[in-house]
Amino acid sequence: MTDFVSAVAARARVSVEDVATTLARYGVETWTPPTAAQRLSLQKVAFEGSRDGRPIAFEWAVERGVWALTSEDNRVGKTTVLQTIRWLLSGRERLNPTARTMVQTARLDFTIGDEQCAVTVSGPPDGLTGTITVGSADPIAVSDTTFEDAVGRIMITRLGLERVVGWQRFPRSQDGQAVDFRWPSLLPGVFVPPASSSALLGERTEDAGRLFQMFTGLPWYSTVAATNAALSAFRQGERDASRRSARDASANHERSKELEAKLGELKANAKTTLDGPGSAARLAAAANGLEEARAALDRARIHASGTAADLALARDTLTSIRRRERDLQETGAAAGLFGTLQPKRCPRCETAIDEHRQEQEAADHVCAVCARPHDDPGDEYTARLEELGEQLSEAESAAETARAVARQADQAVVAAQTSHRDASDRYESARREVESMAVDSKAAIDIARLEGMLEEVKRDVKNDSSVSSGVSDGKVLRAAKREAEDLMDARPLLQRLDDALLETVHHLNLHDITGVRLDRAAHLTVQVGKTSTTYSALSPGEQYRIKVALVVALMRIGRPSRHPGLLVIDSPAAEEMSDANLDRMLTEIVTLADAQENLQVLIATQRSDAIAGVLPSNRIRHVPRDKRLW
Amino acid sequence: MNAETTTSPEQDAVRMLILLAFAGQEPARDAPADSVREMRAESRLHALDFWLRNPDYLAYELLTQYRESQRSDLALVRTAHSVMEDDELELRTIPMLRFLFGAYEELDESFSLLTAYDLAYVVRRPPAEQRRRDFYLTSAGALFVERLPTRAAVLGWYVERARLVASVAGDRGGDELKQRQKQQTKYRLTRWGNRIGTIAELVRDEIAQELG
Repeated sequence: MTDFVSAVAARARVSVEDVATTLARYGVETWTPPTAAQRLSLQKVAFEGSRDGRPIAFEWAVERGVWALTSEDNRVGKTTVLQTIRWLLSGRERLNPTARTMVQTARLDFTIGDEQCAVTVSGPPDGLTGTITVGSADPIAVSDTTFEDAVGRIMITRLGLERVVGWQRFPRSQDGQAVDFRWPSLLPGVFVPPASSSALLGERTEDAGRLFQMFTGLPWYSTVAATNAALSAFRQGERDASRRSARDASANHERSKELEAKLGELKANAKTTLDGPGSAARLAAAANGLEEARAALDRARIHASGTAADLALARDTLTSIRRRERDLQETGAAAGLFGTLQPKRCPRCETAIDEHRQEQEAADHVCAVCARPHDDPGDEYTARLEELGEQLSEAESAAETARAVARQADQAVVAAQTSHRDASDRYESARREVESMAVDSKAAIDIARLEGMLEEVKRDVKNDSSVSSGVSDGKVLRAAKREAEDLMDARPLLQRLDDALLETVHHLNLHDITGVRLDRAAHLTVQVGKTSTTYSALSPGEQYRIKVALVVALMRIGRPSRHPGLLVIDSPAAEEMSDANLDRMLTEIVTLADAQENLQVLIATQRSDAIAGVLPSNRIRHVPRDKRLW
Repeated sequence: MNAETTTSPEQDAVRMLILLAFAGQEPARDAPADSVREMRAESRLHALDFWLRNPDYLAYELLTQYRESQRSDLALVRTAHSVMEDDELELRTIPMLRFLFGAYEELDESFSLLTAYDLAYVVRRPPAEQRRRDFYLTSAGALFVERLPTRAAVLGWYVERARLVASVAGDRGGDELKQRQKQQTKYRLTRWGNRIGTIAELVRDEIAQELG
């Protein structure tokens, strides 16, 4: 483990492992001294194209030191040259749209340290193709979508610049996102912003501190930047968690209300809990009762069937006896009637019976057919009738008895049917009772389930994403930031820079400034006489000179300064500046360039006379009146 | 007494006499002397005797005639109803045997008795007339029947019932009457030699349907 991690662990009073884990999670790397800074030196910029159908071509070869593009008139193309250089150095094109349509190919030759480099592009913005050549390596092909990334990687790597992570806030929001500051965002440290920009360094005041720390070469700068970004991410995570928690709480509240409503409804609808064991016993008893009633009904029906059969038999017997009686009566009556008649013929052969035998029958009471004396069937008939009468009486009695028994049996069946119906009703009632018990049991289960769900919903679920292994990420990151800032120990270096800046400021004729003090964030306090003031309170002309002075001072302090050694100044006299001050500034720049072996300054200005006063003509590309640079 | 039925020859004879008296027709020219009624072929006699001895089938015939009248003659169904509601329905039911041509009863013994007293004659016709047996009621037989209700009240039921049977039968021949009777499934499906079963329950149900 590095000393830095141990120191952070001691500061935060957590374990070294926790610190290492947290820093790794947030991408915070321990600072290591970078390689030696390399200088960037342009050699030639060239481009071709056409304007109004006529071909155009421009080429400008430069070396170390100060070079100038001057013109009598304005809008002759000087800025396009500087913008082309910026485009080819950054991969991000910012040419004037009209100028861009004219430029079809462009090339920049330069060195980074001792390495020869070249960038060549051609084609329209959405069809750009090109190559990047670094040393003896194979050219890297680029397109409009890959150009910026390819150039950026090469420049960062070759110039020995550190990877810097920052935090970019969203407009009108506390939230933001981590960003990798790429090479194009560092270029404002090379191209001195116009006088209209209020930033001390770069184009935006919010970038000044970062550019300052990077180009100053403050140690531990990248770690401080990373911990700042990590803390911003951590706080954002806390805000997100808080928002999620609020959303969850709101959702939980709604869900809780919904469950409570459902629970209330279930409880209201649930029937009164019945006596479970009693219900089961009643059902069993009812089932037994029903079974018994069914059996009793069956017995009653069987008995009734038997009595019905007995009744039918008794009736049949009675009918039979009555029939016999009737037959006897009818036969007796018929025989009696026939007996009053005198047979006329033989019943067998139908031969007529003669008169003599008919007279004999009448006189002697003998049968004219068979000559037998007439029997008086009366006694036998009467006896038989009496016998049948007795039988009939018995049969009628038996039938009556059977009828009564059958009637009773039928009544018993009816009673048994009623009992069976009642038993069936009781059974049905008991069964429904048990069924509703089952329904109630289900309702009880549903109620218990909902109560459990409600309890869970009401329980607060804290999801503290900032806690890792029980250790607060914020605590570790804050400790890491303080440790890195302490290690940065910017003051000695800043003091050297303050001294260099003050000296340069005086060279630029700002003698009223008696003191300067920079902080890590590139906030400049200026002592004017006995009064302290800020950079922003100075006049635009004074600000511009201090911008230039700061870059010069960065060059002067040397290591650990990581400025690439290229300075591009466009229209330095755009802001009100006296000729004397302009001369002094230009002279200071030339002097600095002469003193610094690897400093290159490109100046574009309409103040050709001022340039001519400080630069030899071979370093000046001048455009006469009514002429164009390209 | 007839061994296959519960009726005696005297009962059978009285029944035949009564049927001849009420259901016989005017004797033809070839009828024996002193014939006041005739019934040609015993098939009609058997058919009439079947309705006399089976009130349920008689009631069914009345019901059928009622339906054939498009239910216009309510007297028919009411008569059928009264036949079936007779307390002596079972007593008055004397099942007949089923033979080749339908319900059958041996008539020789009963007509021997009637012939012996010159109450009725049986004439067997020649082969040219299919050996048909024709039955004739004599004037003595007619008088016998006329006096029957007063001299033997117990036999008066047969007189009234025979009158109804004659009315139901009309002038239809024996074959036609038997075909009519055979329309009843119970009758038709009775095996030969078996007594034709009762249809009392069926008839009661159908009468109940008609009477609502």
